[in-house]
Amino acid sequence: MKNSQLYKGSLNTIIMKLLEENGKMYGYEITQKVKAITAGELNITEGALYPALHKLEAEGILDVEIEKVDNRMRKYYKLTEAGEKETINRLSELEDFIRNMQSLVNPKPSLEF
Amino acid sequence: MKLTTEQIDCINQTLIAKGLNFDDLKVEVLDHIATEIEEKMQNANCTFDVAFKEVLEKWEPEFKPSFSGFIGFTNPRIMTVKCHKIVKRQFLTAIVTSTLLTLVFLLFVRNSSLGLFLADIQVTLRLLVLLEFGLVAVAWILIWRSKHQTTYGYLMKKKSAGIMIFLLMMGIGLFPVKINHPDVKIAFVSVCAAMAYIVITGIYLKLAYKHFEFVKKISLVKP
Repeated sequence: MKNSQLYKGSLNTIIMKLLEENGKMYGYEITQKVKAITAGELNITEGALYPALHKLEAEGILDVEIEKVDNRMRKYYKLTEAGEKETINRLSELEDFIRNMQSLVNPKPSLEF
Repeated sequence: MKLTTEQIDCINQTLIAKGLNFDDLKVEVLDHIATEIEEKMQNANCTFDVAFKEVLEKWEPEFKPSFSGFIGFTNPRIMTVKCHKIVKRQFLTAIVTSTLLTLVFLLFVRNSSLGLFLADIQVTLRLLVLLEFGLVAVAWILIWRSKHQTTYGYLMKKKSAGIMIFLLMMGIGLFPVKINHPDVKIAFVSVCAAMAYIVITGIYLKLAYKHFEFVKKISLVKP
């Protein structure tokens, strides 16, 4: 991942947001979707993706479904009910974070005389 | 460009050779590798062997043997990371829960009117422990006989093997729970140890449940 330390804390939220929008997704699909949305700027590696998915599953935020696709099985991840609620909270936190970082990086000049 | 059954089997055997023999992990890793290979063969117009070699090279760090003190065994990194997170979370849950239960016992049972029923409480605890022992033994056998292996079943079998002896000894009264020991420190340690074994065993039973839950999901997929 480019600038991995900057994105590291947001990976779970990114995954949850994608699943909220797309219903259920499989691992490779998540990496490709992120790559497409960011025009190749953000590449999620397998070493980052699967630990994040497994952690979210262990926390009860994600559930899995198995389906047969072509001549193999595919594991889909989807948000649980608790996961949907948690996604709203985390997106709100991330929005606050982005807003605060923007204020810090590009402070608006104050008009004081 | 879709891979053939033989090519899928080649990936499957490679993963097994690298120690990834647990279906809950193997299913998604195999599918990810297969999909990447299909895309490479389509876009780069290369053969399966060339694409497989490139994709596998990218995945090699995830198959590297890795040890975790929480698990106590060495496995491919991707598996160690998953198991480590499960066990660490359970370990912390067990410590917090058993400590809280111990405080409840010592504050509300010891030296209270409920202390009159101490013998009944100890019998109830022993019966609970024996019940857990029975359930763990049954789960152990069912997982051992299961057609599918999962990381949950692996953890359950590895971690519960050691605890079963203590459960049996507690259940038959060889380790009585000294709730009303005059020394409160000894009472605390005795009750806390008993609570820890009970809670941890509950956690192992949850692992067994997750194993059977996954096996049910995978069995519902038509071949």
